[in-house]
Amino acid sequence: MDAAQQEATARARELQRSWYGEPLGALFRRLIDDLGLNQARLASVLGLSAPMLSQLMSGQRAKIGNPAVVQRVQALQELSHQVADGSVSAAEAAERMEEVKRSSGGSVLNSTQTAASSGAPTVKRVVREIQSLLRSVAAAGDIIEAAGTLAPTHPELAEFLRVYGAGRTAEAVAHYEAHQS
Amino acid sequence: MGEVLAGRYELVDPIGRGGVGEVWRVWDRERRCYAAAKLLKQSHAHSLLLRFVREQALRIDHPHVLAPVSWAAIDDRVLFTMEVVRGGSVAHLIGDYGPLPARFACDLLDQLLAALTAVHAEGVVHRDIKPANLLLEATGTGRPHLRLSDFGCAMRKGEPRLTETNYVMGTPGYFAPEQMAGEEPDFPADLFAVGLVALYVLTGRKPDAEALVGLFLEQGRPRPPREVPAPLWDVLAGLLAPDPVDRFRTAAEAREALASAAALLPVPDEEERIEVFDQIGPLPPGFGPRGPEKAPPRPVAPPLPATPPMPVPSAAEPAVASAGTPAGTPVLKPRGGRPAPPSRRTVAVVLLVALVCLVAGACALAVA
Repeated sequence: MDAAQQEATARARELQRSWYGEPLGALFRRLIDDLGLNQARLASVLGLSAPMLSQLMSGQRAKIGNPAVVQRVQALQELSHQVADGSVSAAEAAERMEEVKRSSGGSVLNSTQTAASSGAPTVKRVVREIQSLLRSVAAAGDIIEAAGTLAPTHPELAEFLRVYGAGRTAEAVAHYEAHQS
Repeated sequence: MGEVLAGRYELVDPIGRGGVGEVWRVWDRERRCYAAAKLLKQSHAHSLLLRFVREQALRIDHPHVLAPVSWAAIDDRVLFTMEVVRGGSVAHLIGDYGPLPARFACDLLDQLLAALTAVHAEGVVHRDIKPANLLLEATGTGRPHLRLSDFGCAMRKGEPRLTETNYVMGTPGYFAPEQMAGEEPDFPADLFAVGLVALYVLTGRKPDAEALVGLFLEQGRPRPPREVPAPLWDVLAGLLAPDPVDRFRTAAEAREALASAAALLPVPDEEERIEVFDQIGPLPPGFGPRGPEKAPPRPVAPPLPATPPMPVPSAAEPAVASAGTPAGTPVLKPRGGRPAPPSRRTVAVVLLVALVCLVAGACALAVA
């Protein structure tokens, strides 16, 4: 490596220190150790290609271009702290890493909806179908009244009617997701 | 020496995994070159064989199209080969860089539309345009070079559908609304998918097709996402219109509009240097640029013909290979130095294709 290259690498590491708290070589190596990964696995969880990970670690490149990857790095750092202090087991950590891997930065043209799961729009559609069906049968006021009548004997059914018949869509989506599994 | 498939393709190393099977780098003994071989998982082979046969039947010679060069069917597994494209896919590029600079993105979209123009000119609808199917040559910091690949879902417009009619082909999330509704495959569906890809590369996030369609239906034309420059949004809106008649009529037309829009983009002072890395890596030990370095210990089995590979079914030797293969051994290994006889599946495919031809011929006669 010639002098100019060395200088560029040192400069990149300096930038990384200011952006990410420390050079990415050190940061990624610690994640690899703490979470029991290897470079290929770390790249896959972060959603980076192997050559990109290696360029970032060696300081050939300073910046992580994809903001979603920066978020995943932060999530993994958090996770590695939790593994270190014993609040998360190794098995749970593996599961959480899968979640981190799947997480993305929200969907386009729809910044209010922060749900990261790609299933979200379908859930919303299903929920809207249920809502519109209920509301085509009875008006919101009638549904609330019926829910009140049912509540003492069948609280779950009352809740169902209230949430889908008169509640907000977000509430209905939460109800749907909570009962989906 | 690696395992040899169909007496011809020596496995080198795995280089990818697709939705339908693995992709290996192989040494093609007959053509004496390295190739990428898509290997179908056995469990998928039955329902997907037709798709692969169809993929093979498609030969479009274009710098931005990556079509298969040869294929082989042994027992109930299928392999076909294409050039090795080393730079990963557009999906990798987004993973590494997030949103791409507008001019770089325009370059990719221009190449994609050029590829589609050639594909559509053959009367073929691709039906599976998505970032993972847009491969890249490892061009480093130079101009990118996109190759449209994976014609497993493609079909000729107006061709009788060989899959169940109620089964929508393609990748969830990249369907055009009319594709979802089960209409006959047509070119505008590919253009809609190009619009989604464009949004993906410009914003770095996977677009939500359903929500988009909803927004267009509600608002006519929604405001552009923050990352999409106004002139480009005009082009994207012409690709993403929910009603196919409101879209560009052809890929060539969209390409022209894109070129005009790209000319209006400001020249950035400084933008991130996008480098398309070599994602494949060096050859493993034992393999050199001229192939495997050690001579194979056994004489080379006669290779299957490159084209046409369809074995002639013979009633006298039905499915010997699968019946005679001990459990647990790879069925793709050529045995006894002779090509594997056609299996039941292969015979079934041949019969089916023959049947289709027969029906098509009968129809043609009836029309005449």
